[in-house]
Amino acid sequence: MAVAVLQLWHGPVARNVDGTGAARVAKRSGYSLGPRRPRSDSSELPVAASADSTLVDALLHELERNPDQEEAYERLQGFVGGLRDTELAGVLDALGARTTWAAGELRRAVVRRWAEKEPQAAAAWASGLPGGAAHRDALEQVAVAWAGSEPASGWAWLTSLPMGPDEESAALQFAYEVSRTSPTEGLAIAAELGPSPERDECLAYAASQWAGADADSALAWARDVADPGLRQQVLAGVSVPAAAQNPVGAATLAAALLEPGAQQQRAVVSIVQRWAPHSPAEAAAWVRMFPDGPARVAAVEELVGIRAAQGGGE
Amino acid sequence: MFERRLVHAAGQFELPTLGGFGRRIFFRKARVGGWGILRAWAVLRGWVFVLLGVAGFMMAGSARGQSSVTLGWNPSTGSGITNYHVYYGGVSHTYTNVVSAGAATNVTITGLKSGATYYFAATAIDYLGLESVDSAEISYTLGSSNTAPVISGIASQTVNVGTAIAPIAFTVSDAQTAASNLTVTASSSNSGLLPNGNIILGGSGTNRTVTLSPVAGQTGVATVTLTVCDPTLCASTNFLLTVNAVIVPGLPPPWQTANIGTVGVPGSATIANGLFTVQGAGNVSGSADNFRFLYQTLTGDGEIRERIESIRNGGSGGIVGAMIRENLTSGGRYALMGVTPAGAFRWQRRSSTGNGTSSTKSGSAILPNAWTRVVRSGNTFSGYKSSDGVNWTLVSSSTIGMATNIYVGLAVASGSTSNLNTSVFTNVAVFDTFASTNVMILQ
Repeated sequence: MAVAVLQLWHGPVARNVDGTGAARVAKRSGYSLGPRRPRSDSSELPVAASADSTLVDALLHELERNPDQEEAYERLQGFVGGLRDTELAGVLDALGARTTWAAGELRRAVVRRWAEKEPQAAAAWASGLPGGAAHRDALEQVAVAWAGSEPASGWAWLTSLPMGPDEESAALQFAYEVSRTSPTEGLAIAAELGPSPERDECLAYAASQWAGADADSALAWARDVADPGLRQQVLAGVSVPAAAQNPVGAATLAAALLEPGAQQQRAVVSIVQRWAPHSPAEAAAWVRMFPDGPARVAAVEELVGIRAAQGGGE
Repeated sequence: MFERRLVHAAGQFELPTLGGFGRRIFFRKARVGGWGILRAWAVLRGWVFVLLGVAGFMMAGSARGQSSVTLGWNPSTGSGITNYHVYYGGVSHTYTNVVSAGAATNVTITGLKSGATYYFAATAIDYLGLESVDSAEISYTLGSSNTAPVISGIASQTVNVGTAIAPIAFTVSDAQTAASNLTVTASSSNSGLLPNGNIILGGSGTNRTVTLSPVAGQTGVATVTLTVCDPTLCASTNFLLTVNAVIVPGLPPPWQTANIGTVGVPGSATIANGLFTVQGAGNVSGSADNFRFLYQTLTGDGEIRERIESIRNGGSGGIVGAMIRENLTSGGRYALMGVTPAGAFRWQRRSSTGNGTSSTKSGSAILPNAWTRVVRSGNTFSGYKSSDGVNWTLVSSSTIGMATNIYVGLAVASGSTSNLNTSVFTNVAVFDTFASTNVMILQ
């Protein structure tokens, strides 16, 4: 099953991101959140092994009294590293619903270690938690761990969950983690999420990673994003890494498709940064053609700065 | 080429004797009724060399002005005079032309240039063909009825650097010359800011334009002079061009700023005059960060370095410094070489998304002589410290798998979600090896 899904990931990527967050190609790729089940009201923690709650209490007390947070965190990591696998669930049980920073850090660390070892078991435990910070943290840790080991299985688990804010957050982290190494898959996953600034940022991030590997395809995809605001964000994200491979294409995109504003200014300057050192004449010619406005001003200043840094004077 | 030499003697001109001629000439000027012109005459043995008059004649083209002059003189008192020559030219005592008057005592010379000054001298020739030396020289400037063209004024122009200037309209006209025949030229007083070649004239007839294209990135002032000429006369106007530096509101691109994670008190960031001031709450620690990040994108390998000038912390801990970060989520992977408000260098990193932070302390930092630097080379991230920004000490290197397109910038956290840490950085520099191996992206 996992293999079959992974094969689908390498098919066409999401090309139809619209304002609602739907991505038709994403569904063809197997990335559909599907029907959403109601969340279980169960708040019982599955107990995988016994743990000494007194020991956990003592640790939390020590951590929270330590004025040096970094030192406290090192102590926490040492504790988690010293746990046997069979003790992980017990520690989580002992933590209960505590919400102090130390409890939260300990929970995240233990869940992460558990998810890296037994993702299904950790996922089952995490998804059974009641909604809230502990639930969200646990889901995110499982999602990130699974994205790094068996992303297809992880996605299948995520899509089986009743979608709420905690699950959406975990799915977002999953998309980010997948985007690190498989940007088109990450893009497809992010496109399946409900619209939000965080989702859009993830899309832009995934697209920028894609552009780093295949600038032309990423640029072509970005141009077709339907939602104007999202398209601007994605185009801006794509244009900068694309400039390292295809500065002319990236520059054309920035000039023609990005609307005047901060995004365009940043993109233009970033393109100049990546273009001018290698092809100063071409970059300067492009800047001269750029319409009047703050973006042109910023680009000219960048050109001058680069020229000065190269010893060409101003 | 005719050249004649006169001997000057205190306002009088003694001429050598030719034959029986002993000549003494002198000049004076007088008004002659009716002609209303300048009259001069010379006496050559009783002669009076008289500029009898001038008249206006149409010159070539359409410009109107005087182009001839009539000169007269009293007859020679000597005997045997059969001919008179009048020599003239545009330079004193250098005569390029001669006309023969025969025995007449006047001659009209035509084909002269309106407005020009000519110099005249006469000789007498006797029946033996002997020619006297020159008379004293007189000069005359031909009058011109042509009037100078007119050019409209142009107001001073002030623009921001990098901004092209729209064509500026002006008009030219002339009473005697058609506007289409007027010649317009332009010049700049500051070739560094506005070379003459960057002044483009356009339009036709009466309505003309001038387009100015200051040199990219240059600021300053230039006086632009526009000159319009008819065939003989010119008129000018000038105006100031001022190109100002631009102060861009907000952060200069490509810098951006954001709160990473959930911070209790929103932070901020400003960049002005080389000072990077960042305010942030929260922590960079544990499995999830919350702090203020001033950042830009980085493609592939590169580095950031900066000087930490000051830390004013309202919180209980925190850290400030240079950071390279994989994404903008709270659990993102990162490498941070910073300084704690307590004054310790610290190398921090998160090598796995959402996982814990590793931290290495490395001696004391004495502000403002505290510099930090993070370098990415593949998946190797190295933290450096320095007390002078020149000599760097490697604190530690860590292997962190990061994506290609990431973020680089300045992180500020106070150690508390309810209080801000205000830190000031200078000498901030980002190196992007995709841009160039050794080119600093100036900020």
